Amino acid sequence: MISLLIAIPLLLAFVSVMWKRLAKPLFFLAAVTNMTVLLASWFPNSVEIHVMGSWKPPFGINLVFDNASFYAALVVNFFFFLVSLMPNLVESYGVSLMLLMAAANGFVLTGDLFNSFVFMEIMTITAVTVASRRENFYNAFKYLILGGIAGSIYLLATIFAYTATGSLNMAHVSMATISASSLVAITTLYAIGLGVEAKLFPLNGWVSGVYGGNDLAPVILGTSVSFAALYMVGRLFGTVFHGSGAGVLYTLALITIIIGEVAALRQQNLLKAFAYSSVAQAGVVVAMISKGTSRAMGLAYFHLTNDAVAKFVIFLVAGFLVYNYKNLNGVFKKHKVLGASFSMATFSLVGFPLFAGFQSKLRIIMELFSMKDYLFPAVMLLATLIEVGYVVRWNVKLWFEEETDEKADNPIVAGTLALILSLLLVAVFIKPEIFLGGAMKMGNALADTKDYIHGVLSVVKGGM
Amino acid sequence: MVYIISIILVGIGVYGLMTQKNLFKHLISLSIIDTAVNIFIVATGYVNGGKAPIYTKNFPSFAIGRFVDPLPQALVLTAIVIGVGTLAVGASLLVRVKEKHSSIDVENMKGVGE
Repeated sequence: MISLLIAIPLLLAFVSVMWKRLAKPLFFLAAVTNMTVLLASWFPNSVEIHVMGSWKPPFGINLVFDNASFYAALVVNFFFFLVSLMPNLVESYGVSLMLLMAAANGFVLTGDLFNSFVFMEIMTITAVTVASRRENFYNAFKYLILGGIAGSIYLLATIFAYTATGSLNMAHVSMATISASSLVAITTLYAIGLGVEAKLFPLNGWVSGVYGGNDLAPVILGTSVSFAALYMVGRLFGTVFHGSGAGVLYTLALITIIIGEVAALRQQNLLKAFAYSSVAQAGVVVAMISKGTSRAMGLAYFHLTNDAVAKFVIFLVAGFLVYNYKNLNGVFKKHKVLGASFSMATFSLVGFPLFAGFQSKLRIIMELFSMKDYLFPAVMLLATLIEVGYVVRWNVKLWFEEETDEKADNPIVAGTLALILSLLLVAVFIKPEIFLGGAMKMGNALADTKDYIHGVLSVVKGGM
Repeated sequence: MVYIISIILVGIGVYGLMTQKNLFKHLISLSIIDTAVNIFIVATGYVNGGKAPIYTKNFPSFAIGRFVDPLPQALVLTAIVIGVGTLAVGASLLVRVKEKHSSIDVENMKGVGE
C-alpha cells in the first residue's frame, strides 16, 4: 500500500503531460489519495517494508514504513495537499509538483542508499523547475548547479558505503563494521551531499534566490522538501551511521544558525529575509539531530514541524504581498486576516509564549542543559534575539507604516488556510502533543537501529 | 590509474565552476564532475583479470574473483541517465536565461540583482 504514495503522483504526472488541462485536478487527486493512504495506515508502531520485485532484503530495493517515515511522509504530503487547494499557486506547475511529490515520498520511504540518491536527484530537478516560476531562471540555474554537485557527492558517499560494506541496503549497512577512516569519509560526503537540500552552511547560497524568486517555491521547498531532506539527515546519521560524523554536522549547523539569522536581519526583501530565517531554523534542527539521542531527534522534528507550519503561513502571505504590491508599507491594514496570520506565524518563529515555537524552543534548551551543552543554547538565544529584531521590524512595517493607494483583492483560500494554520500554532502551544507525540515517535524510530534492522531484514517473503 | 583520472577530472570540473563566467561552461563543468564520479564508480567494481559479468556456458559458476562486480555498472547506467536529465534541464534554463538577460555570461547579463 505504501508504494502508492510514490506510484500515484508519478502515474498522474505522466497522465497530465498528455492532458495538460487536467494537471491541477490530478494534482489535487494525487494529494488527496496520498493523504488518505497515510491516514489509513496511521503510525504503524513497527517497521514494515514493501519489497520491490520480490527481492528479499538486503538484495533489491525495499520501501520502509515505520513511525519515522510515516510522520515525515505525513508532513510532506500535508503541505502538498495544502498547495493543491490553491489553483492560482499551482498554475502550470501541476506536473512538476506531482513529480516532486513522488520524489519526496520516495526519498522518505526508501530503504536503499542508491535509490535515495535517485529520488534526491528527481527532487532537485523538479524543484528547479518549480524554482524557475515567474522567470526566475538564473537563480533556478544556480540551484541546479549546486544541487547537481551535491548529487554527485551524495553518489560518491553511497559508493564509498558500498565498497566499505558490500551493500546498499540501509539496514544492512548499519549492521556492518566500517573502519574509522572510511566512516569519516562516508559521513563527511553525506553531510556535503545533503547539505544543499538541508540548507547547511556553506551550501545554502541558492536559498535566498530561489525562495525570493517566486511565490510557489518557498511554500513547497521551504516546507515539504526541507522536511524530507532533514528526515534523511536523521535517518542516515541517526539510524545508519549511529551518530558518526555528528561533530561535523553540529559545527556546520551552529555556523548556519548565526549566518542565517544575521543575513535575515540585513535583508530588505520580505521573502528573502524569511528564506534566511528558514536556513537558520534548519541549522537548529540539524544541530539537534547531531545530538543523536531519541529525545533530541524527536525535539528536532517537533521544532521542524512548528517551523514548517509557520513558514508555510509566512511564505504564503509574503508571496501574495510581494507579487501584488510594489510598496508593502501598512499593507496589512487592507488585509487584516492575512496580517493576523502572518504575525502569529512570525511570533511562533521567534518562540513567543502562546505560540508553538515557544514549546519547541523551550524543550530544546532544557534538553541541551540536561546534556550539559551550553554552547548551542547560547547560540540559540542569540539567534532568538536577532529574530526578535527582524520579526518586529517587518511587523511594524507591514502593519503601521503609512499605506499607499494600491489595492488587491483578498485571497480567500490562502487567507483561510493561513488563518487555520496560525490558529493551529496556538493550539500546539496549548496542547503540544498534537505535534510532539508524532515527532517523539519519529525520534525513537530513528534512534532505534536494532528495531530497524530486525524489521527490514526479517522479511520472509521473496528471495533470490 | 583510473582513480587518478577521476580525481583529475573532478579537479577540472571544480576549476571550471570556480573560474568560468559563462554559465554554459558551468553546466559543462558539472557534467565533467558527473563523468569523473561515474568513472570512479566503474573502477571500484573492477577486478584484475575479471571477466564481463555475464553468465554463459563458458562461465557456469559465480566463483568469487572471476567476474567484475556488475552492480557499480548498473548504478552508473542510472547515474548517466540522471546526468543527462540534469544537463537537459540546465540547457533549457540557459535558453530562457539568455532570452531574459540577453547573455549567459555573468558579467554581461542584464537585470540580475541580488
